[in-house]
Amino acid sequence: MGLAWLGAEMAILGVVRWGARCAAEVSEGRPAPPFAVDAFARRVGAVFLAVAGFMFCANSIGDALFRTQFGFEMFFHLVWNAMCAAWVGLEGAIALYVLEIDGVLHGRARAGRGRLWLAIAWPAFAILYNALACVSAARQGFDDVQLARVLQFFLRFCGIGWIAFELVVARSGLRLVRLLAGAK
Amino acid sequence: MDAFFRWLADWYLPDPYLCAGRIQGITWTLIDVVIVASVLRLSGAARGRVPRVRWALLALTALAVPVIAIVPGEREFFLLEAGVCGTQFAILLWTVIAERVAMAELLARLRHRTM
Repeated sequence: MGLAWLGAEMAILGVVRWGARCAAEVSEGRPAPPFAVDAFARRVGAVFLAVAGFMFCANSIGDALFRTQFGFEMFFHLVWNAMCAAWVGLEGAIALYVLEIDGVLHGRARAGRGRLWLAIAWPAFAILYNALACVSAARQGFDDVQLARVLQFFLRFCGIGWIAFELVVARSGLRLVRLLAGAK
Repeated sequence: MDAFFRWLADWYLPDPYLCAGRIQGITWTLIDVVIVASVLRLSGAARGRVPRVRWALLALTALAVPVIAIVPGEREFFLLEAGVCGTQFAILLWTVIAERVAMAELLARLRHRTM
């Protein structure tokens, strides 16, 4: 189910990105580009496969790196955390493209720096938190239940990120509806 | 850092976990309702007719929001959230894929009016 949601987010990202390109081209008086699987879509697909691959070998990676005895508990939570981190990253990318469309429709240019920040900072934070949690749990001799609590707390960060990005999209959506009402 | 993780390991019990999950779940589900409603509004304007089935499905998910606050256990909470968000995702996906061209044309028309 998690992978299905991830795939759905990627499909939405693909369409929203195409929408942003359409808006940019049309605003410069050129025709909208056709919807096609381009290099970006292939890169997103490669990231999806990498995340799925990581999920399947997270347990071995965790055991090899941290030499812990947590086994399945650690595998389960690392897989779920990786999935949630990927959702938030994708939602962030969707929010940035929606902002681009919003900017074109309201006659403002948007800087592309947000995409770089999101591509580096969020995955770095996700990896750092989970790695530090596993190292600390092993060092302090946590049992499975304690490790689960520490890893589950990462989901709260994901929730905050998810809500923040959704607020950006919702705000643009409402602005678009207002624009639509004004155009009638 | 060890002290922080130790504190979490002792404090972050199932009750705070579920409570925080409920608050965040209700928040993002409500925001999702706004997002999907905006996209459906756009889709309706692009096609010239209201997508009634999708509006009805969205209304059902909105009705389920108060249940998120009272659903008893962790598993039930997860299943309800999965059902509600899954439905909203499906509506969104269906709309942005099936009606992408009509919506892009509408955006282009709106852009020309604001230029």
